[in-house]
Formats: sequence, C-alpha cells, structure tokens
Amino acid sequence: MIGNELEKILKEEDKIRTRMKSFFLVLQRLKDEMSDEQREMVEKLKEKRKEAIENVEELLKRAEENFISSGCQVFHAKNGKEALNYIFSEIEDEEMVVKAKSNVLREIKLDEKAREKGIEVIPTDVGDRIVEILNEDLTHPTGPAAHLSAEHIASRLSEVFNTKIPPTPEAIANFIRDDTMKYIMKAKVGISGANAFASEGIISLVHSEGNISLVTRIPEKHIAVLGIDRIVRSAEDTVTFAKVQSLYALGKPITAYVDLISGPSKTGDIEKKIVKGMYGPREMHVIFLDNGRKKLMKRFPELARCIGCGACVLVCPAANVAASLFGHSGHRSARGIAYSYFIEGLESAISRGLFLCTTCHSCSEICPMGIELPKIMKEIRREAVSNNLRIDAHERVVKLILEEGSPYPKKS
Amino acid sequence: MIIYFPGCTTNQRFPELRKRVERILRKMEVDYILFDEVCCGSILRNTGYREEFEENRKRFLEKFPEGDMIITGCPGCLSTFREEFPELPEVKHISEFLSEKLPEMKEIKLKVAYHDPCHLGRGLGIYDAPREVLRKCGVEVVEMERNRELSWCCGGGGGVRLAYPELSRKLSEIRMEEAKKAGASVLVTSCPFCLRNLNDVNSEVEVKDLIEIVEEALDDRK
Repeated sequence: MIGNELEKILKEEDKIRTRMKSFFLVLQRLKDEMSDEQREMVEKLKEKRKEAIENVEELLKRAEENFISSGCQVFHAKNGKEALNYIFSEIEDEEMVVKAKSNVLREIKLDEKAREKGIEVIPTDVGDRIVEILNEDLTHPTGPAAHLSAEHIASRLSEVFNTKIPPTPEAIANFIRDDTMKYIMKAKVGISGANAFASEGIISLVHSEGNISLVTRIPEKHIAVLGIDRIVRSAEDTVTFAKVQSLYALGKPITAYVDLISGPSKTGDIEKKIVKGMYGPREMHVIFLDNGRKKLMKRFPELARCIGCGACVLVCPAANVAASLFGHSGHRSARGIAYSYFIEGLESAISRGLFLCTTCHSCSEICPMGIELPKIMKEIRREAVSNNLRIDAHERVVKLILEEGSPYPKKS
Repeated sequence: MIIYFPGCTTNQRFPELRKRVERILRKMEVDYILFDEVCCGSILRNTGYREEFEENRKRFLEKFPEGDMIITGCPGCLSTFREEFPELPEVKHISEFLSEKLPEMKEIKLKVAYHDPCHLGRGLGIYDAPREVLRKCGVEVVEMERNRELSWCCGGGGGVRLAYPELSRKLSEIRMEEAKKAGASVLVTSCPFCLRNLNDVNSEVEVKDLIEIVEEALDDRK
C-alpha cells in the first residue's frame, strides 16, 4: 500500500522542495538561537520530564483533584472513542465549534468524526485552516502548511471562496483571519489540546497567532483534551516546557503567547458570591486521554518524555520527502510510528511507515529530550518480525546471510 | 596482528575498494590478515531480525581469528562491532586508522565535498577523522549545507533501499544536488552503502570512497 502512495508523493516535487526549505530554515534559526543558557534549560527540562513520567500516577491524581477544586469537570478517556463521545455530548445541539491546533485532536480524528455527526469543526490556526480548506495533508505539527507556496495557497483559496486573493503571505493571512473570526465569535464551544499540564491543575497553551486565547475565552464552554504523558509537576515547568518547545519547533526563544489556564472564568466581586462565565467560559472540561499512553510509558518511558516540538520531523529524511506517509495522523515521523503502535497496534505501525525509517539517527541527534527513536524503531521492527509481519525483500536477504554468510549471493 | 574486515558490501559490490585498502596497508607496511567469511549481521539488527542476529553472531565469533585490532571501512560493521561484540578487540574505522598513520601530502587541485555516513557520524561521532584524512591528502574540502550532525542521509540504510527503493533513490538524488551546489567535483564518502546509493544517481559530480582519494594521493607522491 505504501508503495503506490509513495510513488505519487515522490512526484510532487514542488511540495517536497518547499517543505525541505521551510524545515531547513527552522533548523538554521535553532542553530543561531542556541546558547549555553538554552542548553542548560533543555537539560533541566529533561530531568523534570523524566521525574514526572516516573511519578505519573501520583501526579495525575493530584492534577485531577486540583482541576476539580478550581471548578473544572474532569473525564478520563481510555481511547479516542470515549473522548469523542464525551466531547459530542458536551457539544449538544451545536452545529459548529472552533478548535485550537492540537496533535491530540488530530490523533482522535475530531474533525472527521464530528463531520459524520453533522458538526463542523473550524480550525483557527492559519496553517491548519488552510490545510483544512484545501484538503491537504499536514506536514509538521507547528507548520502544517509548510509544503505549500503562497502562490498555490492564494490561487486555491481564490477558487474555493470565489474571490481574488493576492499571492502574498500578508493577504492570505488577512483573509483567513477575517473569515475565521466570524466563526470564533459565533461558537458556543471551543476545543483545545494542551502543550503540557501541571499537577497543580493548570494547562498550558503555546501559540503565536493569538487564536488559542480566543478559542479558550470567547465560547462559553472550553473543552481541553490532555494527552496524559504531557504532565509536569508545576506551573513553572510548563513555562520551561513552552520555551523549549518553541525553541525546537520554531527556532525562537518563546512564542508570542503562553496561556496558563486552571479553570472557568469567574468573578467574586458582587457580595463575594462566585459568578461563573464572566469574560471567559462558564464551563471548562478537562479530558485525560490515555489512548495507548499508559502502555507507551511503561514500555518506552524515555519516549513518553517527548514534548512534541517536532524537531525530529524537521531533520527526518523520510518525513521531509515521504511526508504524510511517514507517521500517525496526529504525530509525524518516527515518533508517530511509535504512537501508532500503542494507539492502533503493530499492523498500523507498519502501514504508517515503520520500514521507511533509514535509521539515520538525525532525530535522536536533535531531540531535546534525548529520545533514541531509531532504537525504538528497531524494537518495534523486532516485534513485527516475531509476529511474522515481514518485508519480502528483507526476508530474502536474511536467508542469504544465514545460509551463505553474506547478504549478497556469492556467485554474482 | 591487525584484522582487516572489509564487510560484505565492500567485498562483493566493490571488490576494487577492498584491493585498494590492501594495497594501502601493504604500502604502509602494516601487518594484517583479512577476514571476510561471515557477515557481521548489521542488516539483521536494523530490520528487526534479532533472533537471527544472535544466531549469526555466534557463528561469527566461532570463525573470527585472533588479533589485536580490527579495521573496517564499513560504518555498519563498525557500529555493530562496537555495540554488539564486546568480546572483540578494539575496532577502528579505516579513516580513524589512516588519520593517524598517513603522512602529510602535497596539495592537489581537487575540490571535494565530504558526505558524513549516518552510522559513522551521528552513530559513532566520527566526523573529524575522514576530514583529516582528506586534508592530509592535500585536497580542498568544501562543506555542503547539511553537514556533520545535520548531514542528509543517502537513503541507503535501515533496509529502506531493499524495502522502498524509490524513496532511497530520491534521498540520494537530493544529496547529489547538494554536493553540486557546494561546488564540489567529487563527493567523497566513507561507507560502501552510501557509495552504492549515491553512485546510482546520474550526476556530473563524481562519487568516490575516501580510500580512492588516499590511494591516488599516495601514488601521486612518487
């Protein structure tokens, strides 16, 4: 199956080049930005993440208690389906909701499943919205449209909206903002993920466009889906998390916004009585999503330290070229293959590109959390092989090595 | 005694390369024996055949001769030895060995780019030795945009060339374009897998193994 798709993708020369250029630009920024101070911060976060994953059960329990005491409603979802059912029951009769860009929401296929129920989910991140309107594949967690040129985007958008949009980044961004704002102002429900969350009962949302602040303030209900592996101990840790993430995702020391949210909006200014839903949402729902993460944390605890910056995507040859063929819908590159394995199983990991990895170590070299993805790929390959899910071409060579002492036939 | 382990790909796909190494060793009056009977199992390890790897490992150790040091030109074999065969003597990549032993040679007018093989560079941190060898050979080394830690994979590793040759091919084409952009007339690498994959691309830039440059420089000296 990968074969046919791959052939098609390899022909999309423009997209490959635009993507490679965008990715490399971020890598250069990261290189210029890196200092000893930054390196120290990264090391500190790595330790914090390690500690949090080791004590995840305790921290999750505390997080839940703290969210509840600040007025949130907490739900535990074992899988995507449970999370979606909860979200749909909270959306009630609304036909449209707005969302922040989030890998977890992609992972549970919120947009697709909502559409089946007649609910339209409007992405508010510019890149995300473009990719959605143009029905394209996303290319990087923080730069979904990094493979599309301004000219391509403008001409396709002009078609879809039957108008004339100049092919400049400014004109496109303005157009998308004006259109998206209409939905944000109307929506009753805003859905987000969380870059991280603290056991103190605080979620962090990292963004540059400002859209996430609107999605989580303007609608009366905010639903946040939290991948349980994104836990840290304190609010301070979520800020370090945001800084490292920004550095490795964008090559910038910090994004324009880091929102920390611990509960619904309220005022106690009148007779000291609490009135909920003052300028922000009246309700905040927090979903703790497992979806294979407990298994993942047990099997590969170092992988659970991942902060989702996507630096591994920027350097990965397979992700640069084979793009969406390599990884899970919410999680690109080798990391996504590993997530597929825990979310959907071994066969899914293979169909999502387990054997597309050249084991080149680019990802492990750059990973701020020191995750050795090639090692994890080899472990999952090992399971594939022992479960008889093998690649024919590999089988032939293995036979030769064992029978003739070399991968090449002796007489050739 | 030094054991020269060419590795299967050099041995069977680039027999000339093996001969070059042997000629260089003789010229440098290095006492060595050659061992090429059993594959190191690197491919088994990278594609998930762990049981088969263990089986092969046993056979390898039964046949492997006594010696004080192993040298190999194949980064795949090198990392397999270093990471999986603690009972073997010290293993050096040929570039590490030559960077210490080679004399300084006169400058020649040749602009080369060096392609860091993944398993040698990122895998084992060997970035400087091959560049030092090139310097001693008197050639001018230019760097491609993606070099050292950020080096672009040739596409030849991890069983991808076998499983998805079209992806492997695309990755090598991209690398050859980068070599051309850097203004090199030769792209030098130090891995038979890279050599093979990059060589398959039709380009005005020539692809050579480090060993070819060394032998040419040594010949030039006379």
